[in-house]
Amino acid sequence: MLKLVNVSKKYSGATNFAVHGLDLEVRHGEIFGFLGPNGAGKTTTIKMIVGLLQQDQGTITVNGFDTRRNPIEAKRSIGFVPDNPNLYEKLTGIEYLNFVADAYGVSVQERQKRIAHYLAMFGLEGAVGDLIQSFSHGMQQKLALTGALLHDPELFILDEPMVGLDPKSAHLFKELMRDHADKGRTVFFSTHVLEVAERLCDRVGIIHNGRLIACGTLQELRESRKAQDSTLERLFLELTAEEEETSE
Amino acid sequence: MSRVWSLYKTLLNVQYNWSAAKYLYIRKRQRIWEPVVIVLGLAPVAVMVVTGIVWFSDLIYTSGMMFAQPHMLLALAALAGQVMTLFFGVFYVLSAFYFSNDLGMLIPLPYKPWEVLAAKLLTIMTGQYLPILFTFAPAAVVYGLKSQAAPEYWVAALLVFLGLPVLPLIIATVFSVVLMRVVNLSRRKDLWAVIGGFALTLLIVGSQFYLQFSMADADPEAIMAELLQRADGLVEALGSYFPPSVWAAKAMAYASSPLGWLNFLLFSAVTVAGGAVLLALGERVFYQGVISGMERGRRVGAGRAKLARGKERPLLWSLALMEIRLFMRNPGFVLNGLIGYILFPMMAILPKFAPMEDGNPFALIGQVASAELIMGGIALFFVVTSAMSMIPATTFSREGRYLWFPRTLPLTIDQILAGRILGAQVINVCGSLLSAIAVAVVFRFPPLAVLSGCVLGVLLSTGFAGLLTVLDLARPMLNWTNPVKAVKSNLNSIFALIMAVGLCFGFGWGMYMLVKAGAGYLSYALLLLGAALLWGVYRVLVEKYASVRWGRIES
Repeated sequence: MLKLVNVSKKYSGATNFAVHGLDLEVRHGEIFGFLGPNGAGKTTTIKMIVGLLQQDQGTITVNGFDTRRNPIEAKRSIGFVPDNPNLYEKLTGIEYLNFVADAYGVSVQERQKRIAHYLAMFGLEGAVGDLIQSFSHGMQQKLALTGALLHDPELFILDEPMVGLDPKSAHLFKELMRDHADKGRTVFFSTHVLEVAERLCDRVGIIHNGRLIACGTLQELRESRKAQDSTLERLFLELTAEEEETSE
Repeated sequence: MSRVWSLYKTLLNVQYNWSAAKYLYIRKRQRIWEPVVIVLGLAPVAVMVVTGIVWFSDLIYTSGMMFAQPHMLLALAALAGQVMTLFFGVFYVLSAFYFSNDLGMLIPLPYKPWEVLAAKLLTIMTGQYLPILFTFAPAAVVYGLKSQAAPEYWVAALLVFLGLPVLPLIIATVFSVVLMRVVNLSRRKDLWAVIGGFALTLLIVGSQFYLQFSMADADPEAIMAELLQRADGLVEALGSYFPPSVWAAKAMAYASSPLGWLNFLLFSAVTVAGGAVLLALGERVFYQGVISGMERGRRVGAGRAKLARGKERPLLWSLALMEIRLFMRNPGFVLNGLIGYILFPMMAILPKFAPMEDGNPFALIGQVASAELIMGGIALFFVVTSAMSMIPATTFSREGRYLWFPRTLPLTIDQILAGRILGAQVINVCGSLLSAIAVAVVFRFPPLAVLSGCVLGVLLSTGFAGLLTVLDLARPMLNWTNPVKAVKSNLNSIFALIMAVGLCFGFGWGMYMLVKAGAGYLSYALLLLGAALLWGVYRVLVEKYASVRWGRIES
């Protein structure tokens, strides 16, 4: 579903690579957690996948479409929610959703059905006619999520989806991700909350200083470290600390 | 006071992106060519403006000498500078005080309201010295050199220069502070802010006309004779529009005598008094206005009924509608972008109802210009308003932090640009049509010339708007805290105006030559060809450049 081959990115003027030689494959129907410390390259990677940045080197394939050669087809397969979903504040919620549906070519019947479904799930029915500027952070997150799911994307990408959400909303988000994966779709998300990753993800990848330092199921990571009882947090801390020492 | 100074320096830094520029051009040594190109691009315009003002000042000085009142030049220059500041001040003040995102950060800081007000006002004032430098300063220098003024004159001139924008901005701020306190009591704050802003502008412009009309009620010859007989008759007549400009002029002209310094004292005293009133008012109502403006209450359940509106639209229209909505719902954009559509017809039509209509250039056009030139003028008006509206020239800049959204949609840049051009043109064509028709009806322009002018205007401005959207794609200004900065502090807006003026000169000259050669009918072909050329250049840029650039914007 998602394949990154030898992907590198260095920001103009920077001395270090933000992402360096990244190889990664995410399969159909799985929830993949993308973990790493601050500044590790998670958001840069996500931005390259969704088309907000161009890689300097390597290829990214989404649902069989090369993001540089077929960016429109690739984008059509993606639903994206950024870490801070800056939505057009001067639009009402329903205007925003209708625009998204127009952009993805979602039919009237489908959009009405899905909008009604997600708004009911998130409790936004009473607010959707208001300007987005009156929404709280959590409400904006939910609206962004609804917009990202309107076209039932093959690949659902979320950057730090749990930030700023109340426990109920966070629970809903997790359920939605699981439901989406159970339908055979793919979920790729970055997070700092390792407990969430541990419970929710089928596989995780850990990125540090722009390089992927570990990838696999939790069990595979434990086996590779020969630490059967380790939590993901423990593994994460050990792996990143080792990487720090190596790079020094 | 050091706290206000510190805040002022910070706001100034943010306003003009000094730290960002220093970081980019000096520390990172990137895009150094950019400021060089900007300076080289704007320098000829600045030279043209200053040359024109020097030439005009020389003319006024010589005319004034004939009536032994050469210092009418100073009064005129001070008046122009102050009225300009007063007029544009309303927009700057409303933008900085009420539509700026930084107030949410400033209010929690331990600053008194008057301190924030003062620092913000100083920031706006600093920006106003640049236009005054280009308008007032050349006139003051011409007067000083031609009259071989004493050193005291130059000291007085410098002091007057520094004080010139203060009072108009204070007046604009007092009006705005009161306006926003009233407006923010309403539920539809944005709408009332726009209506109030335009009303303030119309009030300022209208009061100027009122003064003109009231003078014109009397016998013009008798007035002129009296003005010429009195020592400062012409100067005071000019200053009747805005008396402080008379005091400024006299302070400079009589700088070597106590009369001059008395006038300067008067000029300063009124300014200080105005400042005191403002700060007192600011302390009482400024924060209340801002805070109630920030309140974005939702009525529970109010949006429920809107759900039924879910409907499919053609993509192009959906994109255009977004452009229109996002522009029209931001009071800062509307106040700054749409004023041209109101001012031009107002400037043209109001004098029509004045007793002295002879001097109205629009009336003169109707009397002497050929139908082809009227047609061309109307067509080019659409081009100028397209640039003045700033809609196409700042289409991506206005998105700022929202730009992630269209960039992740499965749309080609061709589709996105087409939608934005359509959106910009819907507003431009509606505004320009209303203005053009109003002027045409009042001055009885030939209907066929008006109709063909409008059609060609739509065609010309469509290609032009396309070029402006590509210009903004090439250098979008995305890092702003105050959305108004995306339109007002954006060099793309200035480049757009320069391009529009260039096109007007080019086509205007071409049509004039055709009419002179007895081939005026070819003007239609010239404009049609021009429209095709502009569209052709736009299409080439879309094909060769836009998609590459769209993928490379790092936001």
